Amino acid sequence: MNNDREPSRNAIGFALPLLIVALVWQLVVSIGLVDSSLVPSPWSIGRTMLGLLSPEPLILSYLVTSLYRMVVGFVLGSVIGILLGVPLGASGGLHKALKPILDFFISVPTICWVPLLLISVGMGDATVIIAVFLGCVFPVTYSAMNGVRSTRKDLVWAARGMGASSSRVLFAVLLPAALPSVITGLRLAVGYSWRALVGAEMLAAASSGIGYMIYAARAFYDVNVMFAGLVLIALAGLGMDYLVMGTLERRTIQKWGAVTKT
Amino acid sequence: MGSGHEDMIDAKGAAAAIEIARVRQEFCRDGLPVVALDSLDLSIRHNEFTVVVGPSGCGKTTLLYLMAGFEKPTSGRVLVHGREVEGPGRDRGIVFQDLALFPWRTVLGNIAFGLETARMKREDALALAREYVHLVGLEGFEKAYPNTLSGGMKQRVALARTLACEPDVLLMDEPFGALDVQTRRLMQEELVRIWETRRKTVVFVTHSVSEAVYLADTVYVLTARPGTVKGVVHVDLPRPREAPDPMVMAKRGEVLSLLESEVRKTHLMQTRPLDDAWR
Amino acid sequence: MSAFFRHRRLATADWVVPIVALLAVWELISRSGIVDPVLLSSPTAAVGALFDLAETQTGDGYSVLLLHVLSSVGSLALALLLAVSVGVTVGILMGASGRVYRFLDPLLTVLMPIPGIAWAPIFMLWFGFGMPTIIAAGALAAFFPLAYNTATGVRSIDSRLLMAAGSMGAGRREVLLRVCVPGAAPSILTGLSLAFARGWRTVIAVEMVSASLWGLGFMIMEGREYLRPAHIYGGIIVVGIVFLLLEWLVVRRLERTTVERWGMRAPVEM
Repeated sequence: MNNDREPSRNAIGFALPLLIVALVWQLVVSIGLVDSSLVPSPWSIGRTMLGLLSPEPLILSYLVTSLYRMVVGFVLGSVIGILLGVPLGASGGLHKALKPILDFFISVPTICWVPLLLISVGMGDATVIIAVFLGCVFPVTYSAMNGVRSTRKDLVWAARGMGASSSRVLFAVLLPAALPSVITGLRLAVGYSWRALVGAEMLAAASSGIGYMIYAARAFYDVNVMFAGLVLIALAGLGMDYLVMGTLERRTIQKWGAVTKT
Repeated sequence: MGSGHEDMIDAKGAAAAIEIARVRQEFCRDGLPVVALDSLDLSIRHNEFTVVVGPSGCGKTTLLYLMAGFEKPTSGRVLVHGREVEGPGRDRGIVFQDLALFPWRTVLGNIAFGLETARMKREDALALAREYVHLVGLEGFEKAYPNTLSGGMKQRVALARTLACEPDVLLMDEPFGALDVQTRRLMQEELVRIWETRRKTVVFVTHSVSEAVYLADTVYVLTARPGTVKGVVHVDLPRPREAPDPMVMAKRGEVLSLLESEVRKTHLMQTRPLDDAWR
Repeated sequence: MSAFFRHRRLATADWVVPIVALLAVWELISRSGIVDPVLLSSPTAAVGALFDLAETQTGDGYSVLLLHVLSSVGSLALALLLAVSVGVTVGILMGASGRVYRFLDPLLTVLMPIPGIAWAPIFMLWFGFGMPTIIAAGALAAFFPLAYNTATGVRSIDSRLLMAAGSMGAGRREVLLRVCVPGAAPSILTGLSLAFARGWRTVIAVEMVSASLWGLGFMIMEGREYLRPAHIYGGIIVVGIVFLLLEWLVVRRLERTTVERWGMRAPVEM
């Protein structure tokens, strides 16, 4: 009978299963059950990561490059997404006219745009940033749109009844009401940005970035570097979600009592 | 001294189907200990219709859950047919207030659930289920899904489903609480009709004094939290029991007088709405 | 009756008009030459390219476009099969046992943010360049939403349903199979919907990255190789349409025959 509530996440409860798995993994590779040229052990992954820190901190520079690209693309995409989404949600006419187009664009995997970008813009930072931008602008537009649209009608009427003009209604009622939805959307967009980033870097990054690192390592059959890249992606993804979004969420909507579900 | 056989018949007639002996039920809520029931003694007679009334939050539902086997008493004993309750089982069927019908099964499917569990052959299970559909008056609705039915109809399905398992004891937790007044009256009549056809031991929990007097052979009145037995009223009146009848009114008065002060006590206690807290 | 039909016609018109308008605007822009034709080919050119591909045939006489579509769809189907069987099972175990949940949750939390495509190079090393890699990556991407949503669904089943089943004599295993699984259906379907989307994206992405011979992703990459943007646009259109079609045919239909018929709805989030 399931009466347990959500098991609380404390640090030990979180780390222990991971440690156990890492140990078992290490054991399995050391014994030789698995070919270590195909599956590196946690130990060798760790050593590789340290190795990439000197003489030149390659791994750090790759990480920074990737993060830089992602943040720029994410910020651009989020801002424009919100700017696009709010009017779409607020105006029934715009919604009707443009939503189907948004639906279509959102169903195209971001990475499909990369070949076009390669032809026109070429390899490098710009392509990756634009790819990240495309990856998150549509979902953010969507959630901003939905957030505004699903504002309780009676809240709007109450404001109008107190003499609020259209623009005041927009800023004082619609935007705050849409905030939970927008924040959820931003949280999801972080994930989408990562996905777009890694994919774009594999195709278009020429010589830097984590995605590039993983992809290039394959040509050298360097499983250690590949796994190291995966670990970095996982850590970075977790970090971003927890630190950035968690904080943002805690400061705003959780205070207001509109807690989002993940 | 009669033969052993006679003794047994005698015993069955007079002895309790359910025995609650000095039961105390405690649990933790938000870190604070709460005593739902204390020093509770009660005896449910075989094949009798027993109703338990009490103010909100007095632990009536907890009591029922103890009998059903969903919970174990902190101290004291809960005996059904002389044996301690170990857990839920087919011998004690329960009908919840919010029904707990399986939304993914049709009316027939819901009723047949318990039969399938008993490993009957499919055709036999369905045939028996159909009998129960007929018993509760839902012919024609066998293939309907619960979300398309009205409140009263859903209640009938819940009742049929529990009855189909042929339990020795029928436990009912304010089953008609969510119905409108007219449907409620109808369902009370239906329940009495069904019960008179197939006698069982019934333990019925309710808020409503008139409902209690309408249905019961024996009415137990519980005190406010921690719940214990305040009083017992025996209703030996013929059924159906209609309101204008002075005897019926008298019985209602009896129950009400026992209940009133407890209800007032509950209101004075600084508690939040507890309908679903007593589990 | 006529009101019903009017409603249906309007609903279709709702999206037809904007799409047609978009295509018209697009056509105009590309014809006017404001944007470099290398970047933006017209819809007619894109459709033309699609027709070309549809008509081009392999040695066996099958349309190339069709083969690409079938290859991607086939990969997705196999990936989903894998993901559903493993994911729902894991989800049920997680939902039913707090211990299992507490053990697996950190692992899944750490692995989930890694995009499916990031696994592609490793899978290429392990499985080679063809379908197995694509299917493996797709299955991995689809697995997470299925596992989590199933677990949530099982955990949030009204406990009274479980109690009722227990009172009717059902044992633990029976309760699990006959009550928990159908009871979790709305959440499982939400998970399936997400799995569909993630799986499709990953399949296409991995096709682009690995040197697979078939698949819509590969077809799009070819467009870049031969500097034919029309191919790319055509490919993008097909990718979008196929996905919408699949979702409508599979997920929505499943939803209608189960969750909607039963009147159960999962909490809707984005």
